[in-house]
Amino acid sequence: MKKKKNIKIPVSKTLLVIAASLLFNMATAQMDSTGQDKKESSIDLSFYKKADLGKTISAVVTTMGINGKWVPANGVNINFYTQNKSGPAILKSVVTNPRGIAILPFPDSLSKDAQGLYRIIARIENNSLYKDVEEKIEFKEANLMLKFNPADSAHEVTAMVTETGSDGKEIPVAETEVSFFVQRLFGTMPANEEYVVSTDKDGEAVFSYPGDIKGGRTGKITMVAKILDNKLFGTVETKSDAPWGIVVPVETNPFPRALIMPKAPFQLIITLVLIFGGIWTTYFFIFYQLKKINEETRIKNVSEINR
Amino acid sequence: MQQDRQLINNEIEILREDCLRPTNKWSGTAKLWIGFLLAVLGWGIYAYVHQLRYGLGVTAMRNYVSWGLYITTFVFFIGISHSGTLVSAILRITKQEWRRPITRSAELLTWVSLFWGGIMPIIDLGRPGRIFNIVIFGRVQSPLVWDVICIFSYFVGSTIFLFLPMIPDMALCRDRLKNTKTRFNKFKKWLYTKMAVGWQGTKTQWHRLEKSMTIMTIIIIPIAVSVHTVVSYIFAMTLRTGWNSTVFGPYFVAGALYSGSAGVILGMFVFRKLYKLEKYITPKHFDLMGRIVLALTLIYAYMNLNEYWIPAYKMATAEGHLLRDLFSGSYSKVFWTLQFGTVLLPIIIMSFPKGRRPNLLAIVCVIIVIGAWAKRYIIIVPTMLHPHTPIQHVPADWATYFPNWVEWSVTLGALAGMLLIITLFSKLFPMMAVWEVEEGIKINHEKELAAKIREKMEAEINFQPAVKPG
Repeated sequence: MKKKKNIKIPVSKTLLVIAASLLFNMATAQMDSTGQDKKESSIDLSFYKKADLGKTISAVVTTMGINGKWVPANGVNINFYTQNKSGPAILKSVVTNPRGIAILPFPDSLSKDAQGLYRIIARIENNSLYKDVEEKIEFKEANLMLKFNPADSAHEVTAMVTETGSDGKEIPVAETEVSFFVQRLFGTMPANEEYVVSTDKDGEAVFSYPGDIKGGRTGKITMVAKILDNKLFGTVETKSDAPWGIVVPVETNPFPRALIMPKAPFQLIITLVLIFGGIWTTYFFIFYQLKKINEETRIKNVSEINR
Repeated sequence: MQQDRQLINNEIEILREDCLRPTNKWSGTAKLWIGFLLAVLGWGIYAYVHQLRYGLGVTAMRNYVSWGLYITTFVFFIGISHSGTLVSAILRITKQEWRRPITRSAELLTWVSLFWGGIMPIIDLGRPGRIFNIVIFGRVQSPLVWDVICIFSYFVGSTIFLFLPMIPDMALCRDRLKNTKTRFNKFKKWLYTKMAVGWQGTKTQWHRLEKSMTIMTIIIIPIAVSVHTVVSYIFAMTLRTGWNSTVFGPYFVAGALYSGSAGVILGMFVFRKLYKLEKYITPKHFDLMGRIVLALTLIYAYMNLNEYWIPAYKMATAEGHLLRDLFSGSYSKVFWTLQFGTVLLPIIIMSFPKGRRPNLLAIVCVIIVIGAWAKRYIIIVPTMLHPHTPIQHVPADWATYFPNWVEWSVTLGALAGMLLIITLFSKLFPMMAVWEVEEGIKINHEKELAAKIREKMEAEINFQPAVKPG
């Protein structure tokens, strides 16, 4: 008769290995790999002229993160240069913030060339984590102004785009796209479905703000006009207030839905009170029984000790 | 008859000695163990103070993953707290005689895990003083408020449920503690006296105690179920991908029972070994508890299937991203280890009688408990990393999460705190309900006696001489 072979599987050890691998997997899941080669990165350079006429040059640095997604690179040193005739001259080094942005305030001393162009170079150099990268930008400074009549029932506004000539005169800039927005609490909202208008030969773009824009308690709206990511001028913006919005009264009942309403429904309150009232009444009944047990000692009856 | 009574008394005396021995002896190992737990707890407190001082920014949690290790551990502890309800209340209510030696450890585990479970969200708050805002500004229609009310009510209920069966044992400890020369013994005497609430074992006292226990046994079950259901509401009542599910309530309850009962087996295993209770907590107890855990694991596996299979069949856009990450992405290793290693494998092992033997069952339960904790992590963290609005224009590390040393230290501190309370409890109070086991011994003897009498009577009937007809 053939003897049965007893194959022993070390179950305990197998289970311990599973537990250990579970913990290891948890520790390694989502962890970034370290000790690899320098990472690829990319710089996106732009010029930004704000409505308050503050000017900045921004470098947005992104890097290849886990799962192949491009994510902002925090803490990267960016060297900004200006391109002179003699070659690049360093302006300043700026470290990127947690959003991967390094902002260089526009240097007053920055000079433009004969064509009126500013030339900026941004570089990641000799970084221990990232490979060397360089990005260049050439731009001119444009001026953007809004003209309008507050009493105009058509809510028409004219954006005028000019650049300063070498003689100091303002020269209208034609065929430049201007986008019109309305300021909202957390940013700007396009003022209409068609909100981009090109300037004519006089450098003017005319836009009519719709009459149904909500303007808060006072009916005031803040118009925002922007030249967005223009190859020559970068981003330029300007703002102006106009009394063209609809007056909106304060919402007295902002959540008229489901249980997320401001006041709990009566039925819910009753249900909770009944359930938890019942539970806590029971608890107090038990406390009362304990009190009674304690009081029993005073009228101890020896004959009753044995159950 | 007299001999039988003597036999029972001897057995009861041995039982009392066995149960009270650990409360009178503090071995060097026990002191070392307590010292180790105090050190870990101390380190956890240090990390928590560091967090309090510098804010939650010292943890790995950021805007997207704002519920990390702390809330994972909170849900895990609340899950473990179902152990007492299941083992003690359900077995009591169904009059399972074998429950007697294991109810105390189950009830204690419930109480301790609830205590620490309740602390974890406060740790997660960053500014713990804000916990009172839920009382001052809490809205009745908020699941968070329901959660606080339910957990607090369950905690009070569990305290009563643990305390009531301890009363006769406290009286026993009080009466047996003769040596009150040392300060510590004086303290123990005082504690036992207070906790015995004047217990003398009179008929009326027994009547009141049994009535109270019956009421608590009935009421604690729905409270326990409501607690984990409401804990699940914190997740399910949001519109988040992965949490927007209608099965979350029963899914969480099933998961809690599965991990809680495994926790009870671990408690049984440890105290049986440490305090030499093999005579009372027998392989039969492990076998029966193993069957319960097996049944609960099967229910949990079924709930798991529903939780993932239905959305996976549809692969709706947002759910799809999360599920892909779980099935084949960065969390797939953990996910599949959990499904196969901590659900399927325990089912296979526990299906065989050998798999329900104490040692192997204890290892299976360790796996289940670790798996239950990791499952909570998988429910919380990947979901938070898949919000409806994409993660963009934020620092790279906001798009990932792994707990850092502060979170690990605080969490391990909480775990050490939990084990410390259990250890101290076991050094002060008997870990088995002495009177309940005594009652079991008496019932067994009565049954044996009844069987003997029946046998005797049957024998007498059988030996009656046959009467000749005519």
